[in-house]
Amino acid sequence: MNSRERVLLALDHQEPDRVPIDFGGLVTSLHHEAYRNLLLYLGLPTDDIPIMDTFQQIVDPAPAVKDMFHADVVGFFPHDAADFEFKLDPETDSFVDEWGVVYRRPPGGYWYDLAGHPLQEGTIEELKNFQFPDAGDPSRVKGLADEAKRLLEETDKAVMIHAPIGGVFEQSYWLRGLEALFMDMADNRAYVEALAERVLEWLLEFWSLVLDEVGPSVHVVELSDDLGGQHGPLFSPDLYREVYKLRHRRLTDLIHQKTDAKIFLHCCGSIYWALSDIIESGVDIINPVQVSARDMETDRLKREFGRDIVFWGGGADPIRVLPFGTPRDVKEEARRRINDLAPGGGFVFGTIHNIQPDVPPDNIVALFEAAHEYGQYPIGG
Amino acid sequence: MDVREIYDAVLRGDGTSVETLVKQAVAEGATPQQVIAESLVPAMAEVGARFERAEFFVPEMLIASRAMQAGLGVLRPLMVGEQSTAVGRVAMGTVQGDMHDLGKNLVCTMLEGAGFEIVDLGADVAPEKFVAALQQAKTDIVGMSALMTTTMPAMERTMKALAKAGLLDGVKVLVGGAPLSQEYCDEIGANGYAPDASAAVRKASELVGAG
Repeated sequence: MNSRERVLLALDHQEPDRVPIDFGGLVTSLHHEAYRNLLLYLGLPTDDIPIMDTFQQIVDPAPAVKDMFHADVVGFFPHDAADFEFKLDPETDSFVDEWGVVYRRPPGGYWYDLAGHPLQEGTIEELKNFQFPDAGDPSRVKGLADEAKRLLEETDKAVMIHAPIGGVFEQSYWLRGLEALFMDMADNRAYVEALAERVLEWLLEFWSLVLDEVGPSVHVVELSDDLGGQHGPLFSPDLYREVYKLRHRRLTDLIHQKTDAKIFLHCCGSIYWALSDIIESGVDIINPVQVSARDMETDRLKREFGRDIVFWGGGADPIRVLPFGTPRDVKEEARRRINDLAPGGGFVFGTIHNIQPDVPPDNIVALFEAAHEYGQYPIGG
Repeated sequence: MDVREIYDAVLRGDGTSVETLVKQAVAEGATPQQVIAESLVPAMAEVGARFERAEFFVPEMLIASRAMQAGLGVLRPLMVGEQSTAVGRVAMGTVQGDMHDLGKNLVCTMLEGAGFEIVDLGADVAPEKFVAALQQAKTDIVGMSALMTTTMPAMERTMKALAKAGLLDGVKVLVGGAPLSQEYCDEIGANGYAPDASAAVRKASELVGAG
């Protein structure tokens, strides 16, 4: 059984030969410092550390490392619009994206934080006059169909297209600022809806353009929209259902029309409360299954939602165990999550978000050793 | 003074009304302490209670906090030079290397709404800055916030700096933030952990014996 067959069976809620593993994606990779430590630990050269995503400072790991960790998925991105020029200002260590959002890395920080937002007033008038980038710019997909086809034909991995921007809620707060958007939610609902609608329109046009090119060549389409904090909803579940859920559904309807690929939603935090809605909104795969957050007990999640959604992630508590536990703790934790989530298929093992610089390399190795060792079907057999 | 109207306006997050009503109350002879004790503090306590009952979420808490600040903005200039009636003084900051202050700001306002005096040290606060704040004025509680596992160690460094400067006697340390836990709080020798702004108020009150 090759990697692709393995992933596709798992996504179809069947048991493959072993639990598929994702390593090296947009939310399943590692910070460049963690990667450097890993390479040193493995005795591999550290002269080539390509940054995959500036904002998060994560890498595209070398094929040798991906193979060592039995990675079953390859990913690729749509391109930036040709008229957008990425410029890092070394003096302030900041950059501006094509929407006008400013990112800055604090001195000594590991990655970039949101530092400036174009929608300062928060009025419908301002929103009307605000120029969104051109979602349908053909340069975003120039050569992309060939790239996807090459991954399909030249690898035996499952092919995933990454989302270059966040979802309706995330992109709203990127543009407006988190605190400002939160306040709008409580006292200017019409504005929150208007902003959500414009972001959705952008996403619909963008995914339409992209999937017309690569739809037949991809197995997974990655979307992202965080809804959970450590202890529960980031904002009122009613507001999520009324403003965002229906728009998520309009986006997944379009994607499902354009491709047979499964829809992957990266949604951090404590989201037990939202899972049945997420399923109703047309999502096939939920990531990262943040087991450290409240109500995210993997045995219950599998029991209640395992028939209707694929869990992708779940690989070791990223707050207590992965950075601060021993390799033995990491292996035990990985085994427990596999035992909970893998039976019957519907599970792809991955880290819970990108591995941070405080994670020791022996823990990273232990994690993927455990995924391979304990992930053999039948689970616990 | 229409206590109930001020209270309701805070809960609605209606800062403009709070400002008007508080001005009116003062003009009618209410003292700032009265306005705070009879309307603002109970309103913020209700905000915390609604948050705990999952009727309020961070957005509602933020606009209520903003409304309370509008009221305090009217009252503060009137209280200059008066004997402080605060239940305790809190020096609060997001620790070194961490720029995330939405949670910390919310905790500050909720504590202020519960009658604490707040010294907000801001974000990316070096251990020496916490030390300096404690040397400057008698402080009951030091609050530290961190959003990331990679900045949590700065809490421990701050604890050590405070201990080295001999400042931990008589001061309680309260910690919070996404990756924090009671275990980590115990491990670094802090006195209290709170998972959210409402719990922080309860914990702070306990720590100063006002709970």
